[in-house]
This record gives sequence, structure tokens and C-alpha cells, in this order.
Amino acid sequence: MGMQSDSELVQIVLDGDRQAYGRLFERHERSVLAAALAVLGNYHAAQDATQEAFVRAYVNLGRLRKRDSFGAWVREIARHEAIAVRRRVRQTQIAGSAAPEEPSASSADGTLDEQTRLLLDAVTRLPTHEQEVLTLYYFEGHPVKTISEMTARPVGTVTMQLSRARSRLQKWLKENPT
Amino acid sequence: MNEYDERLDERLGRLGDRLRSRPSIIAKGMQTLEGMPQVKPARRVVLVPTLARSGLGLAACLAVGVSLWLSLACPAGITLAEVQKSIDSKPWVLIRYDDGAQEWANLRERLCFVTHADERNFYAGMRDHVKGVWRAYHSNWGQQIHEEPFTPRPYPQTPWEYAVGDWDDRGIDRFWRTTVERVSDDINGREVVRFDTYDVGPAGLRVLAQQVWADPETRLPVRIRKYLGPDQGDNCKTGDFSFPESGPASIHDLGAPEGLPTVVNWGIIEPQAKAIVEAAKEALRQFPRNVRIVRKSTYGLTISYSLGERFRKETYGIVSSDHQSPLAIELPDDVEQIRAWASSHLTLFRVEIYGGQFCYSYDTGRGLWPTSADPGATVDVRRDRDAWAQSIMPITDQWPFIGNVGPMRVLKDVPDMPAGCVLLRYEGTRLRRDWYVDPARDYICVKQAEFAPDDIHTRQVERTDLTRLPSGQWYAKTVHTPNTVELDVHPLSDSEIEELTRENESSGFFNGERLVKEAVDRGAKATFWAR
Repeated sequence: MGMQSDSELVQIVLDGDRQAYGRLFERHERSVLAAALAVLGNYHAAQDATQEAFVRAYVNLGRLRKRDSFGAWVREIARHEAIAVRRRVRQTQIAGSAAPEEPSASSADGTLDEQTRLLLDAVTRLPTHEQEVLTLYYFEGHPVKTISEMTARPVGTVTMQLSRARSRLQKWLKENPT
Repeated sequence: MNEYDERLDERLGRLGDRLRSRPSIIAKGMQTLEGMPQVKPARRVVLVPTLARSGLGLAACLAVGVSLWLSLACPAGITLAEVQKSIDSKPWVLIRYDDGAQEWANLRERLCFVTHADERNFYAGMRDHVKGVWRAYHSNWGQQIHEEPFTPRPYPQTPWEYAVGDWDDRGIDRFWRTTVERVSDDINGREVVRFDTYDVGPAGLRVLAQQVWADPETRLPVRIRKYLGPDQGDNCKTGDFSFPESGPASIHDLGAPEGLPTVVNWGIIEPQAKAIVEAAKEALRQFPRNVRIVRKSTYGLTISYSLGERFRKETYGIVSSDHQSPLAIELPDDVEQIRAWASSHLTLFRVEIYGGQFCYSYDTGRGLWPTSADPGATVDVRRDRDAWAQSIMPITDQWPFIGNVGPMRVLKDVPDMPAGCVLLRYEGTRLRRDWYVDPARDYICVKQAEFAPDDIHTRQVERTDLTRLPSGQWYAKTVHTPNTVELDVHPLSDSEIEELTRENESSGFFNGERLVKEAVDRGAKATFWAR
């Protein structure tokens, strides 16, 4: 039996099986974390934003029209959440908080180096469909065949999108220093 | 997979490992959900089709029609035009977007301000639509304010267009028509009316372009969501309206530093540098427009046909049996044999046609995986003013790219200067670009280097095998980028450039609409992004 697609899992959740949401969570956790991490640069802050994004996505799941775009949707929520977190942190600093709450300063272990952050930033600039397969492949560690089943796209399409995503990343990383 | 691919692959893999090494938050997240009510599908009422199928027939449909008419007549039946008109009496409109951007419009004085920031850059800009002046500060453009005159365009004309600022794309040469649908919605429990604007392409496909929420009582807009299109990752941005009594008087009120020098247009560029830039532009203008260009890269082959402002570009490729890495290909030497050879040895990946206004792109979606049951083909149409220049890359790329306004000068005595060249140098705060141009050979940039604070953005390009066309212009046959083979280009010979005939044209060679139709007939998914 093949793996259920995102679209099918969303329908199962809407039909009342809350645990199916855990499978969606599991499937996209790392890629959503990566999206938040690209904005915040700190694992701990990004994990908080990721959790918040999944909760928000659950609350609004009934409004999701393109159910096969669940991953892209929740990543976008995470990105917005991360931007909001960053803004709140800056406002706190501007207001003269005695203890700065800049996420990247909260823990040496949780802080990204600049090169990794640039790479993540480049990943978030990829077209949605390419970002999806690239994050599932590298960040979630799924093989191409599994991604094909998860996204309901042919294996050849997934492979091609992966290849294009890599080319785009190469080009972007070489040509866009800002 | 080439060396650069492998390095990128390794970096992505390492990043993935690091992400997976973090403790999972799923258990905690699911625990949070435990206390929440079960989520249900949003209610969507599709009344008319249901009734029509139910057998109630014409009477029921008439009843629905009357209901709709009544609903249009009630206060909630406001129109998008009324919402747009409602801001006319406001002195200022402010839209705060969820990405942190702000758009201010002084409707009386026709002044528009924009500010946005990310983790690295800050931008504040102002357009005075009365005086035709643009002033801006960008943290990456050096410590200076930039000022440029601009010719006022036909748009914006109405306060709404000033405030929402989408006139530049949507106001001129409309290709698609739009339809607007009105639905009831709520924002934080407040009842609002939402207007969904769709762009409708020539084949009837609909693309959601914009949503506006409005207060049914005051008719004022409350929120706007703009869909940004595939070039920006199919993202959207959402902004909330407010109507302050006053606003910024200058970009400094929005955060641009005070006391910086103002750079007016090209004023900062040395006259010598400007002369080289102009000469390079002229060389590009003189480059033949009726050409065929064959470009071979590691990934395959492109054949571009250009006829005046139109072009057709075919991209062929090949992959190895492990479905991952491309193979190096060996082409016949005779350019006349290439196309026939390509069709039998390679797979057509993509056809792009530019008809003078729109770019038609057919992605066959096949080839990389021959066993794929669904080719996943797509075809799209978009407006693209720079399509011709893009089509003959890297020919256009052989001249200095002058995209930055900033300090630029000419240097003559520097180490490792190629013979007969001069060095054109741009220096920004985070970036330095060097172009070694050869004035004797159409100002072609034979060597180019970019330096950035981080190693990852340091890049060099070398162009060799400079060749002269029969018409007199020069071009570089080989482009080499140290540390990667991706950008290597090996045009085969001068014979690759030929006049295209009217026969090509009449057979639909440059007919984008025909390409779309044929692609759709073959099952391709069509999208129209003509904006």
C-alpha cells in the first residue's frame, strides 16, 4: 500500500482523526523548522515558531483549499510567525530591555553560522514546488520515491524539480550576494 | 554530478543532518492540540449548481436569483468600486504588510512612500508623482541617498491606485481581463466583505490575483492580499489598512539616515566609466538580431533563434541512468546536423517563444524520467520585456552588467590586466565588481570578478576564443567560470549565425499561441502570468 498523500491526510484529519495530523507534522516538521530558521537564525526560537505554525495550521485547516499544498502552506505560516517573533524581539530591544532577547544570542549551540543561514535563505527563495521537494529530500531525508507519493507527483517530476532547485540554488548563491 | 553540484549536495545534506539531529517537537505540538476542538472543513455553500441538479428547476433558480438581487441591494452588497472610491476623502492611507513593509500614500499631494527591511537590508523610498522625483535609501547602496527623475506614467490616476500601488503592472496594456467575486468573511470576529479578483487568461483559466476585505458599513478597505506570482515563489503578502491624519514628510521619517550626500542618477560615475558603459550598451544594440545561437553546457544543449524582437529557444537535455547526474554530451561539429542529432539523442525539455510582448514557455516535463506515466508538462504565458536579452544569454552577459547605481571608475594600471583592456570597477558597501573590458573588441568583458565579504559570493568569469562575426561584431565563444563547469559555453562556429527566413515564421516557428494550444492538447497544464 502506498503512502498517503498530504491531501489525503488533510481529509482524514478533517474527518475527525486528529492523530493523522501527527503524520503531517512528522512529515513536514524539519522543512517548516528550516523556513523559520532561515528568518530567525536560532534553533530554539525557530522551534517555537514551528510549533506555533503547526497549531495555527491545525486551527485553520478547514480553510485550506489546495490540500496537496499543506507543506508549503504551513511553511509560509511559519515564516510569517518567525518574522513576527523577530519584530517583537527588535521592539523589545528598542524599548530598552535589560536582557536582550535576540534569538541568535540565546544559545551558542542554537545559533546558525552565516553561511548556513545564507543557504537556508536561498532555499526559501525557491519556487514553492521546488522548495517542497528539496526540503523533503534533504531536510526530511525522504527518498525520491517517497516524495513522489507524498506530493502526488510523478517520480520524474520530483527528480527534475530537485535538479532545477539545485541549479537555482547554485546560481543564486553565486550571483546574489545581498 | 559536477564538483559544484557535489559541494552543494554536501552542504544541503549536512544542513539536513543538523536539522534532523534536533529534538522533535511533535509530541509537544500534538499535546497542545489535545485541548483544542476538532477542526472541521470550512462551510462552502454552492447553492445554484446544487439546486439545478436537484430537480427543483427554473423556479428554484429564479428564487436564488431574486435572493442574490436582494443581497446586492442591501448594505452588505457593496461593490469593489465603492470600496476603492471610499478612500478618496482620506488625507493619508497606510498599508502595513505582514512582511514588515509599509506603504504610505499622501493622496492630496500625490506622494507615495515605501519602506521594507529584512535581516540584512533596509530600504526607504519616496515617489513624488507631481514633480516626478524618486528618492531612496538602501542600506546596500552605500551611505548615500539616491535621487532620480521619472516620467509620470498614465497611471496611477485614482487615489486607490496611489494607495495600493499596483498600477505599474496592472494599468497598462492589459492582456487579461479580470473578474471579481464577492463573498462574506470575517476578520477577528468582525463581519466584512471580501472581494476576490481573478485574472482570466485567453484560454479562460483563472488566477487569483488579489483579495480586498472591506467594512460593509463604512465601505472602507480593511485588508488587502496580493498574490505575487511564480517569480516570487507563488507567495502572497497581506496588508492592513489604516487612515492616519498625517504621515512621513521624507524618507528620513521612515528611518533613512540623515545627513547623507544625495546622488543624482549617474552623477557619481566617472565620465570615463560612463563612456565605457555607453559604448558597451551600443555594442549590444549593434549585435545582430537575426541569429541562431547554439549553446552547449554540461546539462545539454540550447538552440536559440532570434528574428528581430522575436525568438524561439529550444532546450534539450540528457541524464544518466541513475537519474541524478547529467552526462557530458558530445555534439557533431557541423552545426547543420545539430538539431537532427539533438532530436534523436537528447530529450526536448523546454520550448520558449517570445512574440514581442509575451513569453510563452512550454516545459515538456519529461525526459529526466522516461518511465514516468504522467509527464507533468506545463505551459505558461507571461509578460517579459527583457525576454530577447535573456534568450541570447550569455551573449548579452559578455558586456558589463550595470545594474547598480554607485561609485564606478576606470583603472588602467593594475596587476594581471589582460592585454589591451581597461578595468571598470564598481564598489558598493558589501560588494566589489571588476570588469576587464577590451575596447578594441566591442568592449567585451574578457574577465570579470565579484568580491563579497563572504567567500560564497566571490565569483570569477573568463571569456576566451573571441571571434568576429561576418557583420563585424565580436563575441566570446567560451565562457569559463573557475571552480565550476556549469557556465561553460562552447558555441561551435561562426556558421551558427544565420538569417532566419519567412518560411520559419509562417510555419508557426514564433507563434506562441500555437505553442500553448499544442501543449494543452498534449495535456500540459497551462498558466497565464501575464503581469
